[in-house]
Amino acid sequence: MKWRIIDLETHDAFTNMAIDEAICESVSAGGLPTIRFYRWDPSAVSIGCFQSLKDEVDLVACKEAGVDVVRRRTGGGAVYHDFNGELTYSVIVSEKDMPLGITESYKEICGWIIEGLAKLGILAEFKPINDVVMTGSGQKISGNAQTRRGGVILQHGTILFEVDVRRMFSVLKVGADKISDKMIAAVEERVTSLSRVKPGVRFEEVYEAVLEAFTAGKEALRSGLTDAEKARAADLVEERYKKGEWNESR
Amino acid sequence: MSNGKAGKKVPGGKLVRVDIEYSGDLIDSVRITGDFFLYPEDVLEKIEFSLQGKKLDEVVSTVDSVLSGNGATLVGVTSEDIFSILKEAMV
Repeated sequence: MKWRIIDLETHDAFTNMAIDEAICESVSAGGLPTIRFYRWDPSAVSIGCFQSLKDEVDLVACKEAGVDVVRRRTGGGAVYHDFNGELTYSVIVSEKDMPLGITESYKEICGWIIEGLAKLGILAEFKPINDVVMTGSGQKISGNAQTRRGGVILQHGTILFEVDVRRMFSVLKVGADKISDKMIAAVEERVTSLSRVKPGVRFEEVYEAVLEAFTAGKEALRSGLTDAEKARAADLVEERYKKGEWNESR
Repeated sequence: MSNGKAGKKVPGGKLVRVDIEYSGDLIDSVRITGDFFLYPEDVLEKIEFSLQGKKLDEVVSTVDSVLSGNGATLVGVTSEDIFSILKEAMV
């Protein structure tokens, strides 16, 4: 089976989510299964499909910090996507090309992340429902979310490169008026990043390792979006992802 | 009509919150939020709609029938969890 690989790109939050959806539509119509890698500029918060925007996000703080806010089509939790803090991927494949149940398909794709980390000498494992954690400490190093629609699986997720918990807490609502050192320490106990487990590792190294793992054993066609997908994504930005109707729907 | 709110982190699962308006033991309207997964996603609105006018003891069967009727899968939370959170919110 041939896969399309879209190399690392940087977009704003609305465009990133719209590109995922545009690719889902083209895969649903018979297009090549696709893997893409991307970053977020400006840094952004994405919330899960079913989360309450006002419960999860400090919109004033986001505005002041120039952080975009977008609701995903996938479930799961609120994520602060720092431009320097993570590598994000999406895998879009038809259910017939990946005939696996929900847990099994998470495990399959998270397995590619685990392979990529192993290339960097980092030992990690899949933790159901949707996390990749460090073997031993159990600290989370990757969060993932999946949706299925029109016979197509979309799984996207982040591989944490560097986590600034204080900054993350400043844009997410954390159920406290004041962010304490204790709260930060509690998160740092649960979550880690590549910069912490492998000090000095470069972002480019991480990307190369992850790209290699995601494409291993696949017939890979390095390519970009089609013009039709670009146009559809631009429409989806305006029709959905920038709209209050969508972002404030819960 | 009364209002209620409740939420819980399901052990080994996800966080679910409910906002409810109710009269006695009848649900008038409910909004379910959280970091759980549901495929397809638009079934959540159908679940919320179907719970209108239902009694608490009909919650599990109502949620289950909307899920099966739409070929939907709920991940990280169960219909029993939704029931117990609604029960807490309706006290």
